[in-house]
Amino acid sequence: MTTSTINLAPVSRDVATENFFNSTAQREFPICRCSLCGVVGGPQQTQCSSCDSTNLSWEVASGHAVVRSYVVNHLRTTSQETPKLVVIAIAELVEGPWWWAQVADVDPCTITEGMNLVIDFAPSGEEMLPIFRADP
Amino acid sequence: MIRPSTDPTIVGLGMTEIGKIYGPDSNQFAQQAVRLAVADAGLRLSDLDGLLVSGTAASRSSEIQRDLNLRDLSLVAGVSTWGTSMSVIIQLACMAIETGQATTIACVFADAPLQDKGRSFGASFSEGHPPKPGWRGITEATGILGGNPLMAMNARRHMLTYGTTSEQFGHVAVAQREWALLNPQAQMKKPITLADHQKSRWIVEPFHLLDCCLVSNGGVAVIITSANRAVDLPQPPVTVAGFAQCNPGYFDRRDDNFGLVSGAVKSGPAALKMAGVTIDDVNVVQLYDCYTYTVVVALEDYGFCQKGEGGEFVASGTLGPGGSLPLNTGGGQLSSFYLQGATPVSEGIIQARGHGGARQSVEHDVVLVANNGGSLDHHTTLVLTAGAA
Repeated sequence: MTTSTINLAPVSRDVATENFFNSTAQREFPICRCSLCGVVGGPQQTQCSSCDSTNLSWEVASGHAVVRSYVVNHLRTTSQETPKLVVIAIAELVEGPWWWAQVADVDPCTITEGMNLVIDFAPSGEEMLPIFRADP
Repeated sequence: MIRPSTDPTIVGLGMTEIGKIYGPDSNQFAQQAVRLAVADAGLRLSDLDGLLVSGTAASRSSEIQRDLNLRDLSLVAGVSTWGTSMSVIIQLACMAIETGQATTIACVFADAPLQDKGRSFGASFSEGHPPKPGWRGITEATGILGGNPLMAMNARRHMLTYGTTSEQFGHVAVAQREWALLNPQAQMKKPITLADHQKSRWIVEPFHLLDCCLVSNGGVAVIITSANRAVDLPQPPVTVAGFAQCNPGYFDRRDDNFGLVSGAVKSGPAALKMAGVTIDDVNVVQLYDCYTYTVVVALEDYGFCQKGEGGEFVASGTLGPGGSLPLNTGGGQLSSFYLQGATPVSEGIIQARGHGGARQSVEHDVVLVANNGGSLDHHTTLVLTAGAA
């Protein structure tokens, strides 16, 4: 069994991602809740995906999610080398938003639709990025 | 059916050398394609009063106009909607013909992603590291670079939801290679088997190498005018009888149908209705095939089979020369060449004219041309009919 590894290129923040990276530094995943209709969206949203309101407030996601889709990258630097497997999944947070992230320490052959995930964080450059692990 | 004489009609098709053609940039390929298309139409460059540009040349329409000595054009635009852009400019041309804004319009797509012989093909459509700052950089840092992982994520969702298999995708690749062997212009010249597909290296699971399109340099142009002008021109006229778009918008949240459905479910019926035909009247089909998966999902969305049954449909011997559905008859983007939307468009015109040679469909009155752009963000449908009123 070959399990997946985390392989993140270094990210950097800009004005739009300042709140996000301030949260992930605290090992928290921020989501946006619409102050008018209550629908929850991802951290990158600038307006509600349901009612178009720009009146959003930040809250912290529970960190629980399920797999909606995934791909497996086979990384190798030379053709002889055994490739590293990097799993990238669409994680559907229990609050509703989707987040595309790498999944650590999972056998790609065992991933199923709806498999439970739990959030973790991994360093990327000087920031922390959300990753997921299988939640047994 | 009696049609008004302003019916938009394709009277010229120009295709440069396409494939691993090094040297010209997209601007130069665009110029070559327009010259070829104008000559094919029996016209002169000075007959043009419209120039619509797509592909990486889209932002360079003024240079292309100047280099082709085109004067006093009444319509110029550059359009960037990725794979649909060639169809989008054809739609704009049709509207301009019908309103009289322009009478004779060149629509051109050109691209030259292969600039360095040593560079891997997939790298041509992926941006390099380090990632950009901000949200875009987070996506890139995670490993979502270029079309491969994006479309693989779509395909895997279809597999997880409907039980579609890699072997079923392989049937699309094998069938289209068989078509390519009948097309002298196709880049790929050797037959492949289902076993070859399964053994080909992983690009990003669930896609093997043979699930992925080629990378090509070149240009394609078409000349569109009205049916009454087409009467005096040498080529068999091809009417753009129907056209539509659907750009669904995805919400990245619970209940999103990402990967399961494309905009074809709406643009297909709209374009067929405009053309006054049904899907049963379609003789030849050209579906955007940047990956084998996109053929499967589009076949479902156009109603050639039920939703979720596309995998079984393509594995049932329907495709390929001699199959019941002439689909991607030139070999498509998988085996002929990849000039985004210009691949289905050019083969659709060739088939509608009856110029397909060994790969020509006997019945070719109604040709469906479907293009995707982005990660199924955009979809366009063209219904081409042979012979103007």
